[in-house]
Amino acid sequence: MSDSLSVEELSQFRSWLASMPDDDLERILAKEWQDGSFNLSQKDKERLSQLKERIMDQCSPKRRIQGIVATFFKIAALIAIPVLCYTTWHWRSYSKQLADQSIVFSTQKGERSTISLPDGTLVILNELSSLSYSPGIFNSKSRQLDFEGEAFFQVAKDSLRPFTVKSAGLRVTVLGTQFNLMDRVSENAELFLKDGKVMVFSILSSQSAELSKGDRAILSRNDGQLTILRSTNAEQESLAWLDHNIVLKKASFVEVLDRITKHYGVTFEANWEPAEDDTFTGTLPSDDLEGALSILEIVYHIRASISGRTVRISK
Amino acid sequence: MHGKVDIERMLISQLKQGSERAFSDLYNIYAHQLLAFCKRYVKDSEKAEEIVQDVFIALWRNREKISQDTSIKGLLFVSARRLLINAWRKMVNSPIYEEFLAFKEKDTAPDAGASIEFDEFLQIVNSEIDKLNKTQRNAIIYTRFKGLSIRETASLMGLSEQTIKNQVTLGLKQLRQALGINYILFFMFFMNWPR
Repeated sequence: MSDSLSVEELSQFRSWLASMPDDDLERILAKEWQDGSFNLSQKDKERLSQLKERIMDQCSPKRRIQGIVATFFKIAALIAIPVLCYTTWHWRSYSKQLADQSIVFSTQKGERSTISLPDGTLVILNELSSLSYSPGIFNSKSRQLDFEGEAFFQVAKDSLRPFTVKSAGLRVTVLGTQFNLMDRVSENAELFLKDGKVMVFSILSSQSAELSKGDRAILSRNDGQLTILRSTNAEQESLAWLDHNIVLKKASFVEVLDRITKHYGVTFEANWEPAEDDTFTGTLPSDDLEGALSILEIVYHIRASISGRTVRISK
Repeated sequence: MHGKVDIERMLISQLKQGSERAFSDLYNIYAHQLLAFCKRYVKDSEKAEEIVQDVFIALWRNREKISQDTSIKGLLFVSARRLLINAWRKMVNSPIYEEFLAFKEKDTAPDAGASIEFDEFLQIVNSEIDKLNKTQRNAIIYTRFKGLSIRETASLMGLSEQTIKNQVTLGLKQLRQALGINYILFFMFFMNWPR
């Protein structure tokens, strides 16, 4: 629908629209949706990420649980009041710490952030990752973080207060060191130790291992088994993302496309695929879609053309 | 179509298991298409974003019921169509949209107006309306934006019909001066809108 109607045309358009049943309009819209190509202004694109945050807020499971069990907590609170009154005195100093809300850092798609923690530890957070800690507890006896995603940690030395990172599958305890940790729900978790010593504990299998410099621990998402690898190019592979690269190891063509889709938010249309065992190992730039595609063009002898958010692949 | 379909199948199966990451990926793939599509009909960005928001929240809430073989693009349309058609009808029939077209039609000065978007137009008018006094502002919002009659507005605001008429006239006059464009709000004053 165009904005260049005259006022007179608008009144005709109004009567036309009023005469159209919803079902007919649906048919017109459906065709438009299937056939059309869509472009957004830069301003609207920027608003999309704010909109996403609002949507994710509403979809967060924590809030839903609050709704379901709110009634239970109301009743529980009534019962708990006398008990609380009695114990408040004894707990006062401790609850002060608990009252501190935890501090959360998180990154969106394509975003990276460097965080400096109160103890001097430096964390480089890769995209789609989050890290949180309670400031009241963090500095006193131990240093504890909750973590998801991928990050490189440069932990400040402090032999009296162990530094612990807890992710979905792993608990990593260190005294002072540098390591890269990746724990994303869809993949196996991975820890690469650049320097120093760490203890790794698999939450699923209760297996633990001590790593030393250069080691890489891989946690199987299925059974919680830890595998320790010592390979010469581990550092290069594990830390390539720090140099703005997407790292792929023996990835099938579909996996390669999947990583690019996740990273750049583009859709692929391909009428061709290579043999199953034709895998890709290497890095692709994470801030240059055309550059990444041109590498694929050379490796697979294909042509990739970008139109909007769609990439067409042909032989 | 191998690549796209397989990735989508994978995302659907993860979404069904409650993966926020898969949901976020699907948003990244389809939200811009859906927003652009909605904006073709509903020119007001806020309204268009509301639809996108409702559709994606519905996708998340109903994730377990999604069939593995469904097309997300089709699903989003089914979920959006009623909302979009309703919002479209509303916008086409709104006084302010008519005002916008009148403004574009009459304003032939080369420097301003010709390329203005409905969004910007709304913003300008709204910011000027905010500067009016409360009575004038409400009288104009009820009669010119919400499509209430003078009588309905009078009873809602607890004032006489004549007072409402006067307040609307004064308010529009001030708006005309503030906006500095001769024809703007001319139609607002004389036309009767449906509803």
